[in-house]
Amino acid sequence: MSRIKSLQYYLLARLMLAPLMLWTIVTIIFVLMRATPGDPVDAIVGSRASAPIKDAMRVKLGLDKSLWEQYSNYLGKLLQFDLGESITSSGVKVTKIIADHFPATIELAIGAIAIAFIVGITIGVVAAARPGTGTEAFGRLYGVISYSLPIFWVGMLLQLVFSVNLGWFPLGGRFPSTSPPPDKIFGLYTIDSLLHFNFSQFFTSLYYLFLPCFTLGMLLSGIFERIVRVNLKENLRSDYVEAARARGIPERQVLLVHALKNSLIPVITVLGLTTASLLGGAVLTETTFSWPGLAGRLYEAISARDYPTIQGIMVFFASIVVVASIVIDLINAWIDPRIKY
Amino acid sequence: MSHLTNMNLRKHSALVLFLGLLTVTGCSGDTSGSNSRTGWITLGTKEKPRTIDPSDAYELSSLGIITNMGERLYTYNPGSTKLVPELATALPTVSADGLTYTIPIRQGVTFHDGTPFDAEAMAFSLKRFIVNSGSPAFLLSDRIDFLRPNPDPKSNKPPTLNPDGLKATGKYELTIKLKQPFTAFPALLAFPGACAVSPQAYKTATVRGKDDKTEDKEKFNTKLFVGTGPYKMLPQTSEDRIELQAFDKYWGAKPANKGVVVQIYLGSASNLYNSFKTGAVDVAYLSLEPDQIRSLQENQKAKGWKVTEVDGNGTSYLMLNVKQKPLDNPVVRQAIASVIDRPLLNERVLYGQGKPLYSIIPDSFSQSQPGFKSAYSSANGGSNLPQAKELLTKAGFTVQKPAKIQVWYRSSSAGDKMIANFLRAYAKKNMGGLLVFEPSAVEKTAFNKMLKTGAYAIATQSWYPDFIDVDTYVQPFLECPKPAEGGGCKEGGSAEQGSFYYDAAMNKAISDQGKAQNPVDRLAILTKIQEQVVRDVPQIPLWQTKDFIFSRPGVSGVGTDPLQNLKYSTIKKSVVK
Repeated sequence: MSRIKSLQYYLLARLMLAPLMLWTIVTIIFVLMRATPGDPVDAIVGSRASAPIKDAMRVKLGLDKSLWEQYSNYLGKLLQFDLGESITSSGVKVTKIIADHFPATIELAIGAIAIAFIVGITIGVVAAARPGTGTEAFGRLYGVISYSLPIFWVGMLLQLVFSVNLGWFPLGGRFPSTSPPPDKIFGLYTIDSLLHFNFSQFFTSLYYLFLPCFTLGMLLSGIFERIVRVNLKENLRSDYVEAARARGIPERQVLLVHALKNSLIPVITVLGLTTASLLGGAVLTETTFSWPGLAGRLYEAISARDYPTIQGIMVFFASIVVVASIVIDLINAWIDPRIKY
Repeated sequence: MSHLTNMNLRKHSALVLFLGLLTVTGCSGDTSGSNSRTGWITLGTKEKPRTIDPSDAYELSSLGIITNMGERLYTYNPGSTKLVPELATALPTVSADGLTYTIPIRQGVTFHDGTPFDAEAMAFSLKRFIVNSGSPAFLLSDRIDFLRPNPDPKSNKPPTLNPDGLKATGKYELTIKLKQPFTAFPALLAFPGACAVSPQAYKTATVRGKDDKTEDKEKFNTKLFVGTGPYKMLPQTSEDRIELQAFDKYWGAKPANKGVVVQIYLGSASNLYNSFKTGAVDVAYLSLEPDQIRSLQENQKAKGWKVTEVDGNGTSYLMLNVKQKPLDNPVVRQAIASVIDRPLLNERVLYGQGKPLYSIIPDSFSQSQPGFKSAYSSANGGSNLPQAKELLTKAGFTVQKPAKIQVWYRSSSAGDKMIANFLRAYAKKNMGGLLVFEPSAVEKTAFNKMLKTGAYAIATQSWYPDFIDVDTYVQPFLECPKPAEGGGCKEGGSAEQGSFYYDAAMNKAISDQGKAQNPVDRLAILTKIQEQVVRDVPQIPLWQTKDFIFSRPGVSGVGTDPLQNLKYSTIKKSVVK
């Protein structure tokens, strides 16, 4: 079978498995949400409301139906891409909540990944280039510590130092409350401000992005550092690197052009796996920095037992992880001819 | 080599330039709180409003904003619990049977969308509040004879409307008929959600009750408010802020500022606290933790901050489940009431930021009588330990067989956790092993659900009034229309609150005080109710709240109404040199 053909079969198999994965996730979330105690009707009408009002609300939300009926109704709607309406934000479609909040999360995620790449790869390369030295020991230590530190603790520490004490960066939020944010095009303030040629707004957006992105990026940079350092060290001992050195290619070029290129392939693989960590970390980062994103909205919905919103956001996040993992597999196959499916 | 060095230099220069630009942007005032829109105020809060539709808003976070954009028939002046007309021009005329209220309506008022305001518009707003069946609808639907439920609940027919129950009887006159006489009814009309909304901008549910198929998105407007108040809402541009601009056609006194930006720190008290300290907000309100309040208070002189301390009407209390052993014995409940050291509790849990409370009614009401102090406290208001020990011994408890009682609290509430732990430590230290409190935490929504099932022996609770009248501290806690067969309450306020207290005489007294038109008669009934609560102890009051509002140097005119809503229109900011 040709390589292209096998890749097509692989892609087909993955695409067929994706709905199954999503169905499993949806079912687990559905059961877990209802297995935990707590009444969404109380969250909406308050515990002081009279019994008829509560009953009417229960009927309206379909919570008077059996679990099986609720489940089949939910799946039926899901198949039509209808994620339902939020219970607590009366009448607001979950798709609208996602559309309103996701740009903030994606902006945070992109910034965090960029920082994780830059910091992780830089430390990884420097550490691998100096094996057996204190620099490598620092790299090892950085890889372990940055990944194991609690993200909310790091976030609060950075807030305390850079916002409260030094006053260099804002504590939280996405844009100063004193000025209106960029007019919405995509909802990504950095992109929107650039499209409006408003560079002051662009730098203000970056300024507000920096600390949350740095916090989340630090968490992920340890993963990249470790992968790059380990693979780069291995590649630096390989035959093709020895051959390059024998040809008199300068060490820096050997390191950055020949060895690093190959060491980055596993980073792409890990990138797919870190999507889940990125979204999980975003929940804590958004909460710490009062960042008005989707992950923070998920946290709110969980507190209020807002079933449709929780399910909708989780399905959305799960879809992102599934799609990201497929895309990463395809990129891997594209850039590395050795990979067979 | 030299080429590489130059490249590095260029890269480094670019990096330095980038960071420099970020810092310059930062230093240009974006965290300083100096508003680029001169004359605007930035108000910081950690409470995100769930909705700004007055027919569905029931939380302080939502009502605090609505109350500044909308107007009700009646309101309160800051620092006073006396009702004053707002969209009405005088207090209502009440019929002899106490059922019909006639209210004169203000002329010359315009909605934010330009629609003129009259009695029809007010009637529309109140009808919508009831018919939409949002969270606070019961406040009016239980009292006004407008929405009549079908007498046969099994018939599945929707409720009917009684047009005479709520109607405009003139261009500027509104008439309301009640189901039962209720003395405190005008206070219900001061509920922030009972405000006038533009009939052009809002819709009402078409069918009511269980058959209501009106989509929430049709009947509720969660993102935009169109009322008559001193501020109109600007379209929301970000999920973490709400912008209110002074309304140029406002009929009353113009606000002291041009607008207010409500910056929401999404549930983070520490971000609100630090934002205030760094000057990112002009005013911080709702809600800082007690230790943060203490820290800001301690630094107010050095930093020039102003702390506005207001007596609140919120209360904190313990709910005792009278159906659960050993609390089914009133003597045990009385013993627990004797153990409570309110001054110490206030000091340890709230750093003195509350006010010890010895009645179910806060002392801001003239009807409040501190019966728990005379019955169960020492002279200084602390605990009465000898009495507590004597009562427990009388109930049959010994050191070998102590009274073990679980105290449940919401895990998300640091204050409630401290109450429970304080009680455990205090009883352990002072009760000689006769009484053991066992604190247990449970997640908030689970707590609310399990409370009414009778799962908890003692539950820590807080209460914020819906309206300013003593009824709101009595009826929701003590009334039980449906008693259980084996004793206690099956359905009613006391079951909802977790005490399951039932007493036929109490039910009658609650009903009578609600109907009493004569203040002297009402006071006599309320006195009896408070005495009975002291004797039966279905709940133990702990403290009443104080509100703290923090403002930056140069900010003045900060204050709240009795419902704890910050009044935006009086806040003024001058330039501080």
